[in-house]
Amino acid sequence: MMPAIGLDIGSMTTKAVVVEGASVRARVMIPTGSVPRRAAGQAYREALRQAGLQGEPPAVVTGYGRLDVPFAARRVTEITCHAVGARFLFPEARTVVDVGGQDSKVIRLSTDGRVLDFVMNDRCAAGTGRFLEVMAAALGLSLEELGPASARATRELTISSLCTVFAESEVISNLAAGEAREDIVAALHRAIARRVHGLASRVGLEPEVVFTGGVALNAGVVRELERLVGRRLLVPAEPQFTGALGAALLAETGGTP
Amino acid sequence: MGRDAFRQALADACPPREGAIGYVCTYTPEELILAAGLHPVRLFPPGGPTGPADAYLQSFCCSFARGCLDAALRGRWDGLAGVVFPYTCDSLRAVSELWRCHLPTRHHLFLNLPVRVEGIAALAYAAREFERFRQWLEMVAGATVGTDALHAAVRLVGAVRERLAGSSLLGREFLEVAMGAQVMDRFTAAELLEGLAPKTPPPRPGVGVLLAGGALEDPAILDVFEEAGAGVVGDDLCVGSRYAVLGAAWGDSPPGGPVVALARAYLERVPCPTRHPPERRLQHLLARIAQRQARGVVFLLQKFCDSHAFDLPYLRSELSLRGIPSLLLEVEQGALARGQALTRLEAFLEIIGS
Amino acid sequence: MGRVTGRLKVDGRLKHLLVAHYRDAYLARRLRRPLAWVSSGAPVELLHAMGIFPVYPENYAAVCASRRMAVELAEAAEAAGYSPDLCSYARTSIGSMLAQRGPLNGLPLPAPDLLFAASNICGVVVKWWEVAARHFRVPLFILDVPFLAERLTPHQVEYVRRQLEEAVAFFGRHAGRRLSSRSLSRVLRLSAEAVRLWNEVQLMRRAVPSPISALDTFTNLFPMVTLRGTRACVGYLRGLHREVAGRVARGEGPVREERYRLVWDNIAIWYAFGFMRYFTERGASFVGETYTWAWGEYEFGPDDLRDPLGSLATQYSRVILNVDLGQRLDRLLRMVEGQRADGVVFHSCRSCKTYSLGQLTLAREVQSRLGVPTLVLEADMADARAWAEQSARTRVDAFLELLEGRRKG
Ligand SMILES: Nc1ncnc2c1ncn2[C@@H]1O[C@H](COP(=O)(O)OP(=O)(O)OP(=O)(O)O)[C@@H](O)[C@H]1O
Ligand code: SF4
Ligand SMILES: [Mg+2]
Repeated sequence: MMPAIGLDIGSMTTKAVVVEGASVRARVMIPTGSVPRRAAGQAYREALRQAGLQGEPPAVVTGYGRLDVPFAARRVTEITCHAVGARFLFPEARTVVDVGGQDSKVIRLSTDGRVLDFVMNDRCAAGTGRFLEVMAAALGLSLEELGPASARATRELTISSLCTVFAESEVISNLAAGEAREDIVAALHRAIARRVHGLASRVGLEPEVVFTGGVALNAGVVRELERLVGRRLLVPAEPQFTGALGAALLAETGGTP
Repeated sequence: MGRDAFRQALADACPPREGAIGYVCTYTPEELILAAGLHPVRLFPPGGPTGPADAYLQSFCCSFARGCLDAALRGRWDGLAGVVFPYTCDSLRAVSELWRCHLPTRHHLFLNLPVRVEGIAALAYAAREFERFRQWLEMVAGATVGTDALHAAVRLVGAVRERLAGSSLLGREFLEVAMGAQVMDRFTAAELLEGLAPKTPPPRPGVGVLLAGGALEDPAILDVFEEAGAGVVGDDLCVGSRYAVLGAAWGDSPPGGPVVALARAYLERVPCPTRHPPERRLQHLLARIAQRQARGVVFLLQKFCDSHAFDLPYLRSELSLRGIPSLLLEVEQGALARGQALTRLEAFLEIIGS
Repeated sequence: MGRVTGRLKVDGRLKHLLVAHYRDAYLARRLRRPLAWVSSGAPVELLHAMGIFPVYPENYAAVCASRRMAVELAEAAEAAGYSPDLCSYARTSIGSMLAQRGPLNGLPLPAPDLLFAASNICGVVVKWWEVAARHFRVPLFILDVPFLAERLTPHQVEYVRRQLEEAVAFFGRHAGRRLSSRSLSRVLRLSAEAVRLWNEVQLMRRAVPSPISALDTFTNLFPMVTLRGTRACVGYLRGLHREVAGRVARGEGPVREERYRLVWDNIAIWYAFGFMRYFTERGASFVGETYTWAWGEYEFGPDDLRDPLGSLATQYSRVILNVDLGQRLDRLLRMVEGQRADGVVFHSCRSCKTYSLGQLTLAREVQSRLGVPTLVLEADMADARAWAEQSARTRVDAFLELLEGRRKG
């Protein structure tokens, strides 16, 4: 089988995956920046270089920047790509939760892996990775530190506002009131998890549930979401690449979702 | 001591007793519920973030209506024998429908009250709906609602309302007692209300404000006022004094019978903004301000509440024409955005205090 | 495969009707014709029969939205203290009232002599008309139409009917017009004829390919809303009927290759017709909308002419926004099956609570009862500030991919 390439141009990061047969040959991630087209080209070339491939194999392109990529052989939405990718990693998947930088989505699959239904968050950033980035900055923490910090929480605080602007001011006034950063982070994770869970209950949460996207790297959000769902979530080893993987698999089979 | 009982009733939400009938709005004639030997429980959602209801309601449904469905789905009112939704607004009408679809409450009634509260056609219609309500209650209770029982219930609720209206409690204390009284056993409420003395000192002169608005979840919302140093000298809230001002009393044989008389009393009360025509509302608000000698009005608006939001520009400009300052604070999930509310309240007090 | 056709030829006449309608509205005062502001669910037949000229603030707000003026007018209302969470039609209308501006030659809707609103579509119109009554200081009549929960009770019909009698007296008192039963019968007959033609046009969309799509019906709805009960409306609909029947006979439709047949729930997104065209470009046709269908629900048979007010009371209680969820679902399921649709798009419209709250349950029921997929789109019919077209297109793409997967699977 020929190697195939998939590109996921997300709002924050651009990912490229090269697959051959059932194995991944290369994987690249760079920031999307302000010109998605440029990031796409760069990730494409870099992935081919890593995989040691010549020529220009056709790419299936997904993510919010997919329409901006002139060399796309085919454009498919993130919904379908995350479904395909998650299903490949976990054949028992019936629900996929993808929380990226700007969007969160919940996808329900049939037993044979077709998309039955999906929902996405409405326009504001509440309940997305972007929200966490703003809050991390307000707390003076890096993204990587959020998950471990929340594991050390001791007190149950509530951040009631989900609007990024108001939540930020709540965080600041909590800090001013002397609350521990760990407790505030945990409260933020709970707020996000609640939001995502609310979204998920609109399509129904069939087990097994796979959690993808960059926010799945945050162990604190995973934990809170598991608590609400009432079961363990399946998190891929590289959750951010699930969409690009799905795109690559679609490129390989040339098939429709 | 007495006050704790009210607070407890509010926290318990659903008394562990048979024949509890939940209802969502003061337009429900609780006299009829009592006359059927049943127990009226006003539904106050707990406030805070919602969960299960978000699967059924989009973000633009107000958090009071959403909170009602949410608490119900979480089992807060599992002990109810029945629930009544009187027609008030579009959001609660939708919640009534969703409750019917998604909850197993044994008895559900949409009490189809008129929007119009004046005119003979509206009265005739409202009386028929009250009558339908009476029959429904008889079915739920398995007993008839007799005239004597209705007279007794009217007297009992009348006593609760009167004692609340005459109470010298203020602010959070008053709201707790008023809301608690709408949940607890009405005999106990009437008894306890007698001789409840205020604990909070009277407010500093010059900074007394009147609260106005619709439904609220939690009396704790008033803590910000205390923190800001604002004395709440009275309210025109549907969960507070508006419950207390309905005068349903009549002689021994009112024309048309007691159910018609009851319907008339409900139509003649101070209208809430979901009723038409609206003119008496402003008059009532002005009277409350004068009576309580309030220096300003703070409107508490549930975010996404159409009925109240539409009246605000008009009410506020009428107040301002009369030199009465007002402030608008939006309530969501039973709370105010604390930091912001505090700043705005303090600034408001500086204005009315000077 | 069908042949592609562009816009309907009758659209040209439509523009003429619209212009003439608003021109007459602006001339009403000079012609000494009383002018009333009417809500979209009010029994306009009464006004036509009494020689009162009706204009529709909701339609006017939709015109503002399609000419991209709604946002600035809404902002004028917000500046006056009206919450941005209120219905955007109401904000647009109030803003235009306050700022004295609008899209038609810069003019706001002409000031009313009378105000007439019915509560059968929402509680919002009651409040909105109260605002107008205070602003213009003119008499207001609210027709209170109780919710139809499960079944219509006799006392409910009686209540509405008595109010209709009051309304006739009210118009007599304030507009100096009288109601003759002959003119009411004539108007009701014309209204019934318009409804019959409209419903036939809708049913022709069962054809594969569908002869017209949502854009056509959303535009052509104007005469049904504002001119129902007039000769002009019937004349126009005959033309529409003829043209659509011709398309069916020739196997023509707006979509090159009809791959997906969809149903739309809720009001149109008036400022985003380009987005509606996107469906067409992707091979998706709308074969029905609950919104345009709603104007086919007023059916007056010969029997109704014996008790016209009673019959109006019944008909206007049954409108889609006044019935319980079960009845909403029945109508929707019937449309999906009858029109052979394979997907439903729910426009979750943040302005319109009566239309939108409950849609999530309807969507589940459609999925589980018919196995038909659904898509919920968050938007607003007039306030473009709540709209993100690119992300809406992504959702549509994903939805069509899902439908495509079912075709294959
Ligand atoms: N190491 C990490 N630890 C915790 N969170 C992380 C980490 N790396 C990334 N994230 C989170 O992941 C988010 C980005 O996720 P992802 O790359 O899936 O987004 P995207 O695909 O670009 O966005 P979208 O799908 O919304 O367009 C960041 O906003 C951040 O919150
Ligand atoms: S709330 Fe809905 S029905 Fe009412 S005026 Fe607005 S859009 Fe129309
Ligand atoms: Mg992504």
